[in-house]
Amino acid sequence: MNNNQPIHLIAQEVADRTAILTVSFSFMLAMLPHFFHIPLWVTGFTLFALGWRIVQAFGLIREIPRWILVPLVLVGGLSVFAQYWTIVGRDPGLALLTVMTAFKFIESRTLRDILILIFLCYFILATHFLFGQSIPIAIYMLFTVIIITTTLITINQRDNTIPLLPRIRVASRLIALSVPVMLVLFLLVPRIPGPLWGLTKEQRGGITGLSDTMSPGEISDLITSNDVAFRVSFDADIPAQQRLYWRGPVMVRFNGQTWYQLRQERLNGQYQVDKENAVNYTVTLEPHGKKWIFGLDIPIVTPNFSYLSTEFQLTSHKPVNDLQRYSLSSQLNYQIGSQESLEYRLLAEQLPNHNNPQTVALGQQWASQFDSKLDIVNQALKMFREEEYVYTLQPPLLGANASDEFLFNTRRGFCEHYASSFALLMRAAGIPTRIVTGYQGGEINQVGNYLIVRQSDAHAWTEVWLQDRGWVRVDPTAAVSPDRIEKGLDQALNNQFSNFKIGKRHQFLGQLLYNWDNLQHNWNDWILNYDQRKQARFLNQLGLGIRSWGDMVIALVICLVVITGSYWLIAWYRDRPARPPVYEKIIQQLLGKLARKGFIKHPAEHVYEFLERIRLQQHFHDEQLTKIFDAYSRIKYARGYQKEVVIKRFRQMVAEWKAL
Amino acid sequence: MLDQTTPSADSMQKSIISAIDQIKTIIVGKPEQIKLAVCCLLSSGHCLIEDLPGVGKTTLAHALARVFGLHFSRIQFTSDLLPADILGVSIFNPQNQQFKFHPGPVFANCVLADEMNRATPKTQSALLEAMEERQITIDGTTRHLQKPFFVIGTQNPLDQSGTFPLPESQLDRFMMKLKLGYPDQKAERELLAGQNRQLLLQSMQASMSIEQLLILQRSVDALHVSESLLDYVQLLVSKTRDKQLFVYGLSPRAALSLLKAARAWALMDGRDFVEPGDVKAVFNAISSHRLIVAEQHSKSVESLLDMILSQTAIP
Repeated sequence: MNNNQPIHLIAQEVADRTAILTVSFSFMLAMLPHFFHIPLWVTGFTLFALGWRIVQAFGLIREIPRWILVPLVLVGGLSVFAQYWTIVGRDPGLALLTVMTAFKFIESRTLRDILILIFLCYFILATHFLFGQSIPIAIYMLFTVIIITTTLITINQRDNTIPLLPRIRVASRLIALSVPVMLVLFLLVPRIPGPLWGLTKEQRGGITGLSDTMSPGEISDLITSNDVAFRVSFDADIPAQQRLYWRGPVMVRFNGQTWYQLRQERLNGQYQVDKENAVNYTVTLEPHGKKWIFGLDIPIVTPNFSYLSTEFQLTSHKPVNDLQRYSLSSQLNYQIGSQESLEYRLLAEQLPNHNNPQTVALGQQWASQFDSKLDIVNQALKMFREEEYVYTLQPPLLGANASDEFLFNTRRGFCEHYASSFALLMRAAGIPTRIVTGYQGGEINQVGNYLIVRQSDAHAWTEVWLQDRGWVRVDPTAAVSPDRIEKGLDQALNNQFSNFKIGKRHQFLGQLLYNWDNLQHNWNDWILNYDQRKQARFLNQLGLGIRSWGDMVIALVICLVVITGSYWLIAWYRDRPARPPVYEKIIQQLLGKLARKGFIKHPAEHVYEFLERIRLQQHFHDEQLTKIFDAYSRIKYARGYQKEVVIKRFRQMVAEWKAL
Repeated sequence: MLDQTTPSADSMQKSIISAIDQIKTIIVGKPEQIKLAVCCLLSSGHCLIEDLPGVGKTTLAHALARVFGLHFSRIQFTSDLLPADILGVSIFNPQNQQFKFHPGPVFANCVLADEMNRATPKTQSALLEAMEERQITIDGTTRHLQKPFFVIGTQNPLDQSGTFPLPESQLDRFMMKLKLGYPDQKAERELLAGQNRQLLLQSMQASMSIEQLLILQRSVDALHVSESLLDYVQLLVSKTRDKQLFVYGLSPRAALSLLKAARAWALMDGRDFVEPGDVKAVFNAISSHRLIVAEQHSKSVESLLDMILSQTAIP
């Protein structure tokens, strides 16, 4: 095939087998992660379409005629609609795109169709960012974009004069060359506040995290997840493990089975907290779809997108649907809620009717036994500590009166069992008590010197209200298993279950995992979190006076022109004609002088021929010139004459001749 | 760095010039063709002479063989010539009950293949293959031909009936194609007035030995070629690949031949390097029989080649 054909003629050529196979391969790569995102029938249909077209390329079956195809396309579109009852949105959009691309495969005939398919592959590839923005996805996309580009080169290089490997190399180089452009676009395209993709709640399913209710077994489910909840960088040293109580949803309403959260109201007025020796830190919170955000007890400065509720729960104005980064200041030695309203205190003393009678009886018994409420608290903790209570992730199933069964029968439980039973005991003894859920502790990543808090660090503890002291944190789990609080979960469980914190057990692998997590942390920090605010700060730091959108667009255009311009310059510099050697310049000057005298050398003439011609035709004879031309010919064509000395001598000869 | 057996460039040139001068006394008025023929011999190529009968093809071949001290043989191609007539044949000897190989005329240093186009293609290709391989295989035994091995083929452009002109692809086996043509008035007069050519030939003395010729042939390969000369050769070759001029251009083999012949030409001029003039001198002889003029052109191959030479700037 001739590569010099005009492009519109090439486009009309019938696609050959190579074109079909390579574009099918690219499409499969571009689609692969999406097969988890689209309905099964779409996957099935796509594979069928690909298979059909490939078999057709081998000449085994006929092309599907257009009058069958057109109604089929309609059916395909309607099926997508039937699946979602809309075609707008991320998932229906992707399904529709996939189905239509599959139809395009079936009807593809010419190279023009193949080119369209390749550009569809690029588009489909880009849609992966709607589903995840992690590092592995980014790497996969980079790899695939190189493959698709290789396919594009293959289609345009139809006589296969370039072998596959150099073609991949060319594609990689093209992608590498586009990286600076990508960076400039990333840094300078004006950012829109809020999530770029406008994702709705439906797409947030499957995210693990705490919920706004708590019933036995809920947290121990969560704890098997190794997902990162958030990462924290401290300005100074990381506080001791047992002080790291990350406050989440606070629950005060109890129906005998489940604890519920109240509607959070903004805490008005000042609360007395010392600002001395506050801990400053920055949290990068993974999206969890809920409104609460986490901070150490007790936050004293709140991020501007959130407020502190009356229960001292940090609450965001909007659900956290994107990676959220915020700076906080917390006071670990605090006293709160000494002015708590009677109404709330009564609520925190309520017991459900006819529920857990044994527990309530024990609490009431303690109330009559002890004078001081603090003694009651200590009595309960003493009971947990001294009697045969076991901290375990696999507690037996409990019935309707969960606390009774747990306290007096099974005695095996997880943090929520202890917190819940303890709260119930306290309430029965007339002490206002509430449950606080959140995370406790975290894993220090030495590589980046930050704290990783995982879902497995989820925890539940209690707060009791004491006269003059306000809400005091009491963690019954600490009484049963001090290790849980001081050393973390897997130590407390004596490694009976968890191996997710591999870092603590395997040195090399651990180091690797810490590095990987550090990379993710930075990725979150610098890539995913690059929002309007960060962009403004970055541009400010550049100090180029880029402030408005207009400035950004101008800077963008300038950068793009500079990048493409420098590419052009490099290409030009590489292909520039070689600089003629010195002796050529000297001889050109000499020939110029001869030309002015009327002796013009033809470019196709060798100097001897020229000399011979002017001798014969124009009777010009010059001994010296013969010697000069001889020297020139030797320098240019003989071995070992291109030396500094020889050329110097040559220059002298020419100078002498000119002087005559 | 030259040892005893290697003659200096100067003495090499002298012996070549004396050889050429001797041939000139026999073939008068054709110095260009004589020089090219010697050039072809020095660059271990084979030579094709295409011309009318009686212009001195045979005499040239004889003269070349004589001055270089070569063992000469002549094959007159006829329509009933068989490969065995060229290569040789094994004959059963009843005395010792064995086959004995009787070498054919191809076992010589200088072979004149006269009027090649009169033999059948089978016979032609027997010779052409021997020219390419410089060895022949008969009855499973490979026999090397003599060194140097130099074939002068002739073709008669007239008298086309009952002939098999060599196809272009086979012509490629010949390094050069020469045309002798009629001598000019003065030369013809000299010819007519002079002695009998046969007698003259017999009185010729070898200017060098076969060993010296082989050394010369080897030193051709050692001649220096600079990058800018290679640029020039490539430029010329690429110009012949213009579809507007020729049906197809010069092959890489032709380009190699061009370079080798240019080296031999430089050696004959007593230089130890090649310059564009050398390439120009041999370009026509190397290229003309390998090219076919494109249909839309009415010019001859030679004039198109001249045009390329005069239009290709020396880089």
